[in-house]
Amino acid sequence: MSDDPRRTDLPEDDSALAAEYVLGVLDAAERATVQQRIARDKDFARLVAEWEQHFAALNDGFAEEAPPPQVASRIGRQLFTDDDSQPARSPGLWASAAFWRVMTAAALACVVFIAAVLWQPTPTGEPPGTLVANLSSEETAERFVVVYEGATMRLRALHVAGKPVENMDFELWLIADKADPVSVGVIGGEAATPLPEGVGEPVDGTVFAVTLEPLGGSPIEGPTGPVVAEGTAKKI
Amino acid sequence: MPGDESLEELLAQTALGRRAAFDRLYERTCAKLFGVALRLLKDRAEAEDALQEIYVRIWNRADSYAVTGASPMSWLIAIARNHAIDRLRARKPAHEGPEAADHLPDPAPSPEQRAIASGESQRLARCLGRLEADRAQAVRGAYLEGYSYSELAARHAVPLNTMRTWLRRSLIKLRECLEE
Repeated sequence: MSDDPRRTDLPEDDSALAAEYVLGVLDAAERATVQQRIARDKDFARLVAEWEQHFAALNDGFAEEAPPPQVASRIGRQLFTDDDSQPARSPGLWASAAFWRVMTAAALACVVFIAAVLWQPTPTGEPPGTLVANLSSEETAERFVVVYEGATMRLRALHVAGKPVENMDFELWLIADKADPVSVGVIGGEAATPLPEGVGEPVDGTVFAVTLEPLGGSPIEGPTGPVVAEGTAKKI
Repeated sequence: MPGDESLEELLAQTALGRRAAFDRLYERTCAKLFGVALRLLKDRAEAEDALQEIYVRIWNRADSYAVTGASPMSWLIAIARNHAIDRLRARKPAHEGPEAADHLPDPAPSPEQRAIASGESQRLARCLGRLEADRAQAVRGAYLEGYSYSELAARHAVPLNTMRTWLRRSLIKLRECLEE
């Protein structure tokens, strides 16, 4: 949309766009575009979070007001089935920040044990095979935890210790039985993601490694940067 | 011990699918979030519907709280504001525009300014204070009342593109000041 007058008034400024989004002045279509961007661009999402923090100083301007009690029961009906103990959504332990916080807080040697304790098999059928790999290196402070849930073929990788590197990405690699590393993708999103096509399913003993790569991941088929952490997947 | 948990703990427990924690989180935060929805939407029935959806989102997204690094209350308020503003924007097509370019008075700058007391609040207040008064007022009006660009343009009696340009410039100035 080159005729959008906004584009000619001022140079694109991501920070100003993030601020406009947080303030809420954009129209519905612009908001939808920004929301998509937040979902896929973590640097931009960080700008949005920063502006939310800045403007949070105005939050005292919102006066409290008790909602009518029926709202709570409507929420309960929408989220929970008749059986109160069964949440309507699967909590998805491996997708839960609380789970990861527990993982991080614990001595990493205990990770597999904790995961085993916290893991609740789905109520029907066989418990899905779940693998956990604890990735570290003596040479770096970086630590990652990878959880793979066989039942859904989804994998989640989280950076649990160390620091992001500016203008670089951490990329996760799967190394099956001494084969060449296959990229699982850049580590960044919070969500569990499906195993990329062409990546063999990990098993007990599969090695995961993380390398430091240019933004967006290695430009070639294999890794180009140094290995910052590695570890072996264990079934729990 | 119920009642003693921090909001962080309640969010962490909610992320694990624990309903009791979610219920306590609701008890502790619903008045604030309803206040946000009500102020932005200015319609009780819609604010109630919005509040329901806001807590459904909180339940579904509690697991992403940790990565944001925000205080739990500002994270919750951001979810509430975002949802309420999405509703406002869906409600009024942009081209409909405000009735007339009336100079409607902005709400008295009282509650938020009175509340501004320390730290981050002071910094924002100081930086807003460096903007021209009407621009600072536009920023506050957008944040607290949910005004869109076209509503702001009407309130300040300037063309839409002028409003866009000067609000953007103000935001860039604001950021520079906040980073000082």
